[in-house]
Amino acid sequence: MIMLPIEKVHLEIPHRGAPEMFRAAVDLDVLRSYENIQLDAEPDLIVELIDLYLEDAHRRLAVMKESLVKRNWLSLKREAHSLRGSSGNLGALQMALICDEMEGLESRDPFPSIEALLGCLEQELEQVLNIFLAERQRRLQ
Amino acid sequence: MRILIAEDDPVSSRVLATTLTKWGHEVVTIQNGLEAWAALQKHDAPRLAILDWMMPGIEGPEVCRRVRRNFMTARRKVFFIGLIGLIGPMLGRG
Repeated sequence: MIMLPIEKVHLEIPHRGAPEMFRAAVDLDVLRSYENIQLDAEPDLIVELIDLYLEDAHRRLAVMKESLVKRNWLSLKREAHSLRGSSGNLGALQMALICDEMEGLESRDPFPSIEALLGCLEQELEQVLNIFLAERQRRLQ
Repeated sequence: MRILIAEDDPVSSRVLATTLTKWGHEVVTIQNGLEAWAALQKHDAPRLAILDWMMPGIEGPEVCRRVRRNFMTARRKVFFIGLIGLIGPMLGRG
């Protein structure tokens, strides 16, 4: 998790790519705030961040599932920690909240709760994927 | 200034590296604690390191302990990417 002095971007054109029902899953203002650090003559940073996030999130979710099978609490906690950070940084707030809940579970017997939370995480990631892909497409047009 | 970023989350690493580059710094990025500790022991290592708390290999606090214990690296500046990020306040951890 990082803390940067990033100003919010107020776009004149409202976002039209994502369906209304999905908007709560991602705060696009957070994602678009990274326009402030876009380097000149470099590829679109936000597109790059979306690609990095989606690849990383799917990989971490797969590791979490494997860790659940192996009852590896430390690995699960580490993946939840990282995914919470990247999700929060890109405005995927529900993802971040689910990861936070997972990370905060007591280590005595966290696995029944983790199984349920992983299901939520998977569903949430589907929504985030749709929104991010719509935003990605919009930016590349 | 040359700055080392040790962070296994590619999104956070990219954002931080881009920000520091925009501010005129030269950035070296690394994905785990073992590599960070190895990089910090080099003669020409960056004088400033920004470490994630939780990383594969060695975690951030242990890298920091090693840096402080070794007279060759003890004067390097180490910061942590902490729990006070953008999402922190929302999660009641700000």
